[in-house]
Amino acid sequence: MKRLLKKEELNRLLLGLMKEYDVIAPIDEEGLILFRPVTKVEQVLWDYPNSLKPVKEFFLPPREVLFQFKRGKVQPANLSLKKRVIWGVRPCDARSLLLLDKVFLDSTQDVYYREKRKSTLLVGLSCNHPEKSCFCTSFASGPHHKEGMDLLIADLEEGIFLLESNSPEGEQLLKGRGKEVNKIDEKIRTKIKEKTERKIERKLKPSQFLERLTNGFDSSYWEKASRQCISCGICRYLCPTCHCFDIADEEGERVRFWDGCSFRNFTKMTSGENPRFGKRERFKQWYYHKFGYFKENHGVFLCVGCGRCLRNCPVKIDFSEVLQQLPAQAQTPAREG
Amino acid sequence: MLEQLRKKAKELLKNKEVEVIIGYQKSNNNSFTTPCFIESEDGVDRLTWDEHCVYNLSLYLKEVKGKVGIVAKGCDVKSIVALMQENQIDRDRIKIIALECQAQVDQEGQILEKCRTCQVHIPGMYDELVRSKTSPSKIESKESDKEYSVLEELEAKSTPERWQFWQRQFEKCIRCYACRQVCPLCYCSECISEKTAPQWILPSPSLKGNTTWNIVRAFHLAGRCIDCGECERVCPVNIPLRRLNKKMEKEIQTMFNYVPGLDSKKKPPLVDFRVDDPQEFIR
Amino acid sequence: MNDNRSVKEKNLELKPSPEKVKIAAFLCKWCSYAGADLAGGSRKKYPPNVIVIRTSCSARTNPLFVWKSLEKGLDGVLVSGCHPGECHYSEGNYHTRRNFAVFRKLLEYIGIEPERFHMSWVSAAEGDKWAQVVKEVVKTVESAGPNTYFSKKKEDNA
Repeated sequence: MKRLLKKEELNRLLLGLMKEYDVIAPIDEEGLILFRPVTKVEQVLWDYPNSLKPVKEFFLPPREVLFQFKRGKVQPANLSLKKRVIWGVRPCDARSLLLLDKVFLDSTQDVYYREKRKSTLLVGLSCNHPEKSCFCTSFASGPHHKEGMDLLIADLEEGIFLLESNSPEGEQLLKGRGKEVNKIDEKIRTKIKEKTERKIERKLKPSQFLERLTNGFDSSYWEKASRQCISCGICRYLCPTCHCFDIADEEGERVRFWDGCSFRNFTKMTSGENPRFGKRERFKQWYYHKFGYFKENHGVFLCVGCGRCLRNCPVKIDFSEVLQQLPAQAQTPAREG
Repeated sequence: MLEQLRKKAKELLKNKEVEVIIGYQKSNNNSFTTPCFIESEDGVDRLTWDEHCVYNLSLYLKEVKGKVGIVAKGCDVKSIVALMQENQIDRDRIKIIALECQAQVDQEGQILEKCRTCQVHIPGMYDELVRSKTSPSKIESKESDKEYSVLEELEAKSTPERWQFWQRQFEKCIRCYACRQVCPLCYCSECISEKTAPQWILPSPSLKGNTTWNIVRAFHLAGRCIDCGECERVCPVNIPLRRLNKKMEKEIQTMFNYVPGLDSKKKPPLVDFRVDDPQEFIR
Repeated sequence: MNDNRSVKEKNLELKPSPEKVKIAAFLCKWCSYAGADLAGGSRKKYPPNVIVIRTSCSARTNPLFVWKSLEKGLDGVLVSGCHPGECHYSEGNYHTRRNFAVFRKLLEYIGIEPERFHMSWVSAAEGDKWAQVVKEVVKTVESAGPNTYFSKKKEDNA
């Protein structure tokens, strides 16, 4: 279902949602754009490139209590959640959740993830002003894609919005709102969509990645490419598709929290052995997971082209370029050590 | 300046005085710079120098083996001195190409806070010095540009207010450890945050663990931090880490009359002592 | 002063109650620990709020121990060692002194009341001084009240 809404009508829709659901939307928190629970329509940002942290933090939280224990008694975590709406999700982030579903829902289901996913509606906001670092069009996504959302809001500019439902729940939200969409509106939308897609200059050719990665496992290229890397966790933590975690006991709580392959102790074993001790190996792993192993196992690349890794890298490593420049032919094996 | 820098780099590589030069190059989209490693004479044209060379490259000195040349600003040289004080690098294998630096700017074009109070526009130690031909000071000095003026606002607050302020800051921490990884002086082969038995610092991003981590980081750098401000620059959630480091610097200067990063022969203050150190707080 | 209460009554006053503050005391084994021992041996009276932890030298007390005590919910911390110049290891306590001169400033800056951290020099012969130090420290920590740094947050989560 498609409907055309004015800004005021859209605000009314949001206000209505706030009465019924817990609404999470992008706000400006001391200079950081973050998705946070909101109670006022005025707080919500409309014009922003993308949030600093991806929406995965609401499905795979940075820190999540799995259960509590005290003197031999185990208290399971409360899994029931009030119905919530994440408002203003960008198409790239919505797609990232579909990729995470493959990990957490496909074979073995992760109840913590599943329950959060089940009780959440995604209302997306299409993207008219992509950043220089964006490259979603290279990964089967795009600034106006509705994949993974219940409802997509496309800004037709001049205060008019085209809303498109993508699920029964989304259709329910749209019922009886705004007016019909005519052909002219559709045309404007297509025009804006194409204009935005043209703005995305960064283009990758993922078709060759898998083969090149297979050939280049021992390539000296990785030594060179990883040299600037400082092995922090920014790219991993801010990536909407990175989903590695660690589990630890903290003062009567078993917690699950984000971890990343850039850290030296990520692969450290009890014996002291560490198969991925070197920076080169740790740097490489990220690419092999996203564009090698995941592709082999699930048929898709584990990347949505949101560009957060590029924007936030402390030493400005161009991750897409590292991939792009991966030599087609295997190079001489890397030096030891 | 750039011409001279490239010329000197070329000479060093040509005469086999160094095997690799760590410097700055334009980043891919040309709007900023990124660190680079140059191993051949033809590569020196990649070297660049402008007001976007924010990185403290001495970070890489430990992992690059052999004879190495490094392009360094005044503040970066201070961290090289600090590393020498702690016997972490061998001065003989390092050639410092020092650059006269007026100020660096962030991605929004704002002059970095640290540059406003910079005392080392001309680096204090070098093998080659590249001076600026024109020397107009880019910084319009402000009334608030005193060394520790950045601390005043917080120091004026009451203790509970400060607790609230820092808790709000530490709450944001996502424990990406970029502050640790980017710090040239955070070189421990195993960080206390990685230890699990005993687990001193709760590993998950909770308020408790975050507070402990930030306190430990600040104190471990006390008397050693040379204020390159990299930790604050890289923090993805904008925790004002420099206000912690600077406070430690100020207290140590007041109590022990020590300024870090100036003298490679001096002992760092917290491994040193004087019999008449202040002790009015001890019963 | 004329105090007519029985010994039992006086002792009762010294018993720790839930409202009373808890203080971790890190004592160097050569001086302060022996000093505290002497205070006990010579039946000096002092408040029982301190939990004594023996360290091999006051310099062994890593500032992290102090922070960890506060993080775990203790209300105050006391670090005690030999008088300057009398360290069993010649210079350990000089390092302690420098470390904590800086660390207490950091604690204060982070927002911890300065009343919560204390240091003292107590020799093996100073049982009297030890009792006096504890009395003073307990009083000061009490003035800062119970440690609620992280407890408020817990209620929110529950």
